[in-house]
Amino acid sequence: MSRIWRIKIITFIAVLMLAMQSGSPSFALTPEERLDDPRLEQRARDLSLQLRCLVCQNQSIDDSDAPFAQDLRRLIRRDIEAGKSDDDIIAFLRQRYGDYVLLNPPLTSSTYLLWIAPFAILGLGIGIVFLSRRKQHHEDEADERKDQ
Amino acid sequence: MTRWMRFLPLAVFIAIVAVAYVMLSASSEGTRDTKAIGFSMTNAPVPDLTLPKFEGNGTIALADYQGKAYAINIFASWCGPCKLEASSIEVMSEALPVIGINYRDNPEDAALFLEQFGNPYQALARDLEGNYSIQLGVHGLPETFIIAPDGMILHHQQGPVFASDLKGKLGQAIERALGS
Repeated sequence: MSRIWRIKIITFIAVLMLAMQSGSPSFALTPEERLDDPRLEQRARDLSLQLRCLVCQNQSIDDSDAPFAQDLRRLIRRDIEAGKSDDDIIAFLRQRYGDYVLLNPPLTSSTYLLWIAPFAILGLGIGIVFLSRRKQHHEDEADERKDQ
Repeated sequence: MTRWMRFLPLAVFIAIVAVAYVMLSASSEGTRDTKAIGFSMTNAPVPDLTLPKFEGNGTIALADYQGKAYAINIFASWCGPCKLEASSIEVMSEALPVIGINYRDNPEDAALFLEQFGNPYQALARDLEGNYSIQLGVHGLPETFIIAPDGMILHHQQGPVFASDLKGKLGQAIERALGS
């Protein structure tokens, strides 16, 4: 395969992946579910993307076509039309399904490790590299003094 | 300092594995207890629901049950574990009234299910679109709630009720509900 073709294929895959990632339409959402007001529909979509489908494998209710996800999507749209705020809707669902319903879990006593661990491990790694570099530096200096 | 520095990465790795092991084993203990995965309606007041009757045009209001102990069982004919728990729900219905909520089901299939596996329900409601069950925090069938006379949910079980459950936490909740 020529170099140009290889570049073309890689570019095509990259564009395809970007297109899939940015603002993709939900394939799970049926036309009957959509709200007529685009502003309210966008609010419903934004909320749906934050909520976990509890019967799926790490999918948002916006992405899932499971009946449970559909139930929650309908509930959200009904509540939005009834004039409830996003916070009210989230609070209602958290009361019933706990923080687990949120795809982005809040920082609590049970999730602190989840949030802190990556930074702690990164800090430890940097610390270890720094200390071993310093040790190496001291050894090099000692060797140089010995040579002199 | 130089000697322990050599073992530091290994010590960190062991510490991470140990913490992960402790946290994972803690979360997998008693997975039948819905509190273990962070959500349960246990200790919450039962929502004030008025559901359509399974047959006919009437309604069933949970408020009418205020003052007595009762159970709610969410089931469907398409739910395999619901068949497994049918005999235990029958036994449970001898201790306290059970309200059945038929969830997202075809009425004919549900009627056939009740004919085949028995109808232990004192009142039977239908929830064709899952709207009422969400109010109860239902997400997977079957689910069972034990309600105290003051309207508090004493136990919320996700998954089928087996004979062993009637002697365990669920059975204890029934006793508490009947005793209060």
